[in-house]
Amino acid sequence: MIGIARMLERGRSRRERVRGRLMAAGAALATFLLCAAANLTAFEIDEHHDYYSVFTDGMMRPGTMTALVLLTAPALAFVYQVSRLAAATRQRRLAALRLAGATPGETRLLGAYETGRSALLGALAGAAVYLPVNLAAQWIFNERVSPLPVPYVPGAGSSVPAVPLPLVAAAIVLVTAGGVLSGLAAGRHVVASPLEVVRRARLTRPRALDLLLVVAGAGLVFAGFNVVEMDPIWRSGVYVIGAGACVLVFGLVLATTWVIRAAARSAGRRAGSAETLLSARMVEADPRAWARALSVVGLTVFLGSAAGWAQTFVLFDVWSVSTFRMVIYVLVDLALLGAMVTSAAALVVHQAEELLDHRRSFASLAASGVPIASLGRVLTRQALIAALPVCLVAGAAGVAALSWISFSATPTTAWAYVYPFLRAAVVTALGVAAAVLVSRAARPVLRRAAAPGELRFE
Amino acid sequence: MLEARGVHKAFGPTRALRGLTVEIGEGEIVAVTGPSGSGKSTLLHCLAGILRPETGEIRFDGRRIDSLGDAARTTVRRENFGVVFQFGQLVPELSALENVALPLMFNRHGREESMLTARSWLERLGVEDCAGLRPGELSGGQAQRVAVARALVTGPRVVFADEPTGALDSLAGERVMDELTGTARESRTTLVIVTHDNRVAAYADREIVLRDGTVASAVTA
Repeated sequence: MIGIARMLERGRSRRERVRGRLMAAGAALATFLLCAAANLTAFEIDEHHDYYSVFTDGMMRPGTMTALVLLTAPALAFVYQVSRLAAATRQRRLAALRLAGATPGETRLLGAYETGRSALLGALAGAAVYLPVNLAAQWIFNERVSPLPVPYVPGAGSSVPAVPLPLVAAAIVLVTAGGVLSGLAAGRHVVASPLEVVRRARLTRPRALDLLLVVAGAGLVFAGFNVVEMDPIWRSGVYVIGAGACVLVFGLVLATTWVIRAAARSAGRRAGSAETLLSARMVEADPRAWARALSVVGLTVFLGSAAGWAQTFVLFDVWSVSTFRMVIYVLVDLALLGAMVTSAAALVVHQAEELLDHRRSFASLAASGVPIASLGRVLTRQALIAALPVCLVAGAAGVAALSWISFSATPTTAWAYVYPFLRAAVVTALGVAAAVLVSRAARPVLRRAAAPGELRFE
Repeated sequence: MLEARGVHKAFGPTRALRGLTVEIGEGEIVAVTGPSGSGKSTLLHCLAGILRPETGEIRFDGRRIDSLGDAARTTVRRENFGVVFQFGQLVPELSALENVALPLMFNRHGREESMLTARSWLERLGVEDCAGLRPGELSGGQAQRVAVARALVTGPRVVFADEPTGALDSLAGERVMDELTGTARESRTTLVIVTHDNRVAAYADREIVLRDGTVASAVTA
């Protein structure tokens, strides 16, 4: 089997090679971030240290780790979306393999091998980059403030703590397994027989399970707060809150499938132009795919909005404004911006895939005299119809999730209450704008999809 | 009305059209036939302004359209031509009614007006019962009649049909051809049909037979 896989690998097209490299890049980033999160376990707990609290404080460290783990989400979403690229080529290859005598299981394994290999190479590269960065940071920042989550122990002088190698290895295994699973998942809707490739009907409708996740996540967060309140020393409560927040956010994002479908249906009913009608109906036909593609954009908007409450009391001088806190906030915002860019890139992949699926319809419309600019507007409006509800729900949920902070402090100015809402509005607008802007990046694919050549073959 | 003069078109090393010349009159129904690879579809795409020939001229109403830019050719197509293809021309996410209304809406007609006109065309082609169905729920014959309605809904002066019955059984194909040619004759719309099926070619006023990218013969019915 490995021999066949290697043979196929040698014969890969240029597009397939690019796909492999993009997957490896996403896997490398995810591994780097996971290693950084894992490395925090190497810090000694030192609750009284001013500058290293986010790394060493028993209460704050889980939050930092959760944030780093959450930052891997855009990278992993990118890997998954890239694994779906060039699906048509892969489907033809699967059919050819079945014709050559491969069983359905063997074809699935070959698909998983391809993505798993790219993920493994990326994971090794990510770890390989992390280790020297880690060592360099220790060397540079020893006895000084370390801006990187490296295993430098405050007060430990020149003693260098061990890098948690088992956890680094676990990060590599985790990312590789993610790659294998995404390869299996990308092919699960394809049934390849020797005669043809059939695409099973995909699940496009919202599921009740999505709402169940919201309830479960909210329950965990509530339970976590109760645990912390009863016994603040028992830090498991913080982990429960972190896990609950992750489940809640995941559920919220999935639940937006319902919102996207409702928004698209409403837009379709009211559409006064062909572009809006076409885009609304296309989104309505497959809201889950849009919710999946926009999930990380939504997550970023959620976190960006939630961060507003945490920042407000520092910015408005209720608590002491320290350089440390300001640096942390800027780093958080930069991380969110990075997450937004990565998740937006995953959206381009989704639109490219959708365009390839619809290339004959688009080519036919172009042949009938519909300008490419009009079809381009269809792409933009699709992104708008899908992204607007996702970002609105995520922004509102983000503001609501941390609003309890407003009850625990007394601000000196009314702006302290206005700032989180303003910030949420800006982050929401950024999320929508990112989605709309990246839809323009799919226009070169549109030109190819609508080319007359697409009309020549069945 | 529609004219190709000395047209050459190649795809890489393959020469699809070699100095081909044809002329099509207003209201005429013309079948373009010939073996696979003879250049039938390429000729249709050149006449419709979808492809630009390397040399030669394409004229519509005496005006050269091959020398126009992409945007101008698109406008000519939208205002004057309708196109029917063998496969996949309907948008799967839209209902049959919405698919037919789409070209009108692209021409900036109002939604209600477009839907009304589209419904009348579905009735005319005998598929009004399918108005609310999506292409996946239609039979091949029904889908092709919806496609014919979509091609005719803007009142084009020329309709190009590329193997319009290629994916249909003979009965459904006959029905589609009856509707297509009947409507074309009624409205004096010029119809250019590419086909390799003699039964389809029999509906035409004139048959142009292509071989190796040139006109081998022209037969008037």
